[in-house]
Amino acid sequence: MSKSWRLLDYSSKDPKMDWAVNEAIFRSRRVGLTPDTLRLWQGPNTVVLSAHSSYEGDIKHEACRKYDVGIVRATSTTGDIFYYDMGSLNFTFAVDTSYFKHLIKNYQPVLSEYEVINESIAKGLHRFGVNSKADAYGVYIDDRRISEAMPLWFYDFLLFQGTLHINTNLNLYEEVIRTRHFEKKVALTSLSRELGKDVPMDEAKKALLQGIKERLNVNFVEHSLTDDEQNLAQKLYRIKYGLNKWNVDAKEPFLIGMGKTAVEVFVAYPPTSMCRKLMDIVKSVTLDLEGKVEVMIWMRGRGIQQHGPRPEMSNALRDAEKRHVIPAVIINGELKFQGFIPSRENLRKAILDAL
Amino acid sequence: MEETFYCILCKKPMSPALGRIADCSFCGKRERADYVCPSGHYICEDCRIASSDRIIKKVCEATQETDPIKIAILLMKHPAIQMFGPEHHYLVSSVLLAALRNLGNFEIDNSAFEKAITRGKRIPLGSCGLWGACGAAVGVGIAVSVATKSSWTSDKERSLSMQATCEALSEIAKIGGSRCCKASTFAAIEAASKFFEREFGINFTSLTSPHPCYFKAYNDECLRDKCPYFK
Repeated sequence: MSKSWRLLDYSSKDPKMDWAVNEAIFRSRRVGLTPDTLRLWQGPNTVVLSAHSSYEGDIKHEACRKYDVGIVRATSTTGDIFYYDMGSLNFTFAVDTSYFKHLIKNYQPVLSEYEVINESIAKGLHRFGVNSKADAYGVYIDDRRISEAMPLWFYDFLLFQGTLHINTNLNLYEEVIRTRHFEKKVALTSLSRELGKDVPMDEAKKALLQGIKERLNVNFVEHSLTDDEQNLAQKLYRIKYGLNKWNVDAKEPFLIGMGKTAVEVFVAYPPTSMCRKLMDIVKSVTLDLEGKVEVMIWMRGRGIQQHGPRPEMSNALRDAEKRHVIPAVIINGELKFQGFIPSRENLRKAILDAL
Repeated sequence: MEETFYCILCKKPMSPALGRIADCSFCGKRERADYVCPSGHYICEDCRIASSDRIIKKVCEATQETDPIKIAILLMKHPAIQMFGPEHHYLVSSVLLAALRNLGNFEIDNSAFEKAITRGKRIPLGSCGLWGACGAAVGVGIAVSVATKSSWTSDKERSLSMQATCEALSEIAKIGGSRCCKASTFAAIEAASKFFEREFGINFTSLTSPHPCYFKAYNDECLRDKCPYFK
């Protein structure tokens, strides 16, 4: 029996909002508020940086200004910089991949999930009579790449966000991304370049949906974004995707679940008197912030499972553990207080500032 | 409801000490305790927040123990000593020096631990696979060097330090991989024990058996039957 997925056909005119929406969809999926979801969307001329790309080194900024190309950084585990425009069909899979395992022969963790999604895209392209094929790293027509993606993992949940070059302006693509990237990449192509004519986007969408339905054995139910997703996308835009701190410096805030402000308290096990006092103060200053703030007490040496099967832990907390900084208070992934007990006023202010 | 804490040494539930005076099971400090376990284990506040080098130094300075394996197991139960990590490199040299001092065979004062830790910290994580020299084995060489006051200009002491590293390295290499810092620590100390007996006539008579390994239950990457300490 096929599995039911939510289908979203939602596009914003602002690339930064579009990528905030992707993360909001993913967070909603992984906390169980929404089912597995496919979003198909289009956006204006945009260069997308991966979490590890260099804002200064990988983009031709003058060309971006000249051609009015927006720049945004995607949250991703891996992937390489790419470009899309209104001629590209963007896709966002937000799925629990445990379902995929029975669809795959010779299952290999991580690579097989990418491969099966890419196969579903390649299957959709077959409808145009092209020789499309897929592997874990992309979708190709003969040896030319036609699709690019930036995956993000959260335990078994995968956000597979990328673009399929239908009528993409590949000349502009090469104008805005530095040449050294093309040296690493296999040759790019688009469906229109292969067919020698523009392809209506509606036809491309239909073909893609059919390929996905067949390969992944799913059916689609059309929906719109939930209120929670819209609110979270607004917050993510405000504190992450709309800011240079993320897009330029690649520094992201650490949020829990559906965007709650995270207050992580790192203490000894069992807590010392100073640790206990700190825990009491944190509890008292966050009492009226329930729903907005998630307080997590992490005790040294108790392992990541002390907060359930799929806990979220910031890099700053990992660093505090490695450097034996005890006690410590980390707010939205930033180490705010260490080795002493802050006053109630200072702690409260730091938390409110992070909301 | 009050949270239950479990003793990091014996895993039994701890209970409030109700003002009882207890000795810290790590550094021996005597103070008013907050939590103790039924076996009488208590960990002082300073030890609870200690970093890896601080807890190694504190324990080795304070211990009266002459069995380096026993000191190593105690230290490796402390949360500052992770399952895998470069702190094992200087843990090996420090526990050997502490046991040697307690046996009265060498002139070893507290500065010896500082030296061992400073030298051991220069050996990076993964040196086993990347350099072909596990830091636990080099830790044995450091212990011999510190105990014999060897330097690069020394004659016999220099050779002994290298020979000790060589013998420990050979034993660790036999275990295979991937790496296990606990198994390497045990193998290094056992090799050191044979070396000190042969070269200096020192007998760590009470050398505790590390079998079966206490840490196997907590190690997701345990080598299991492949490891000589598994059973």
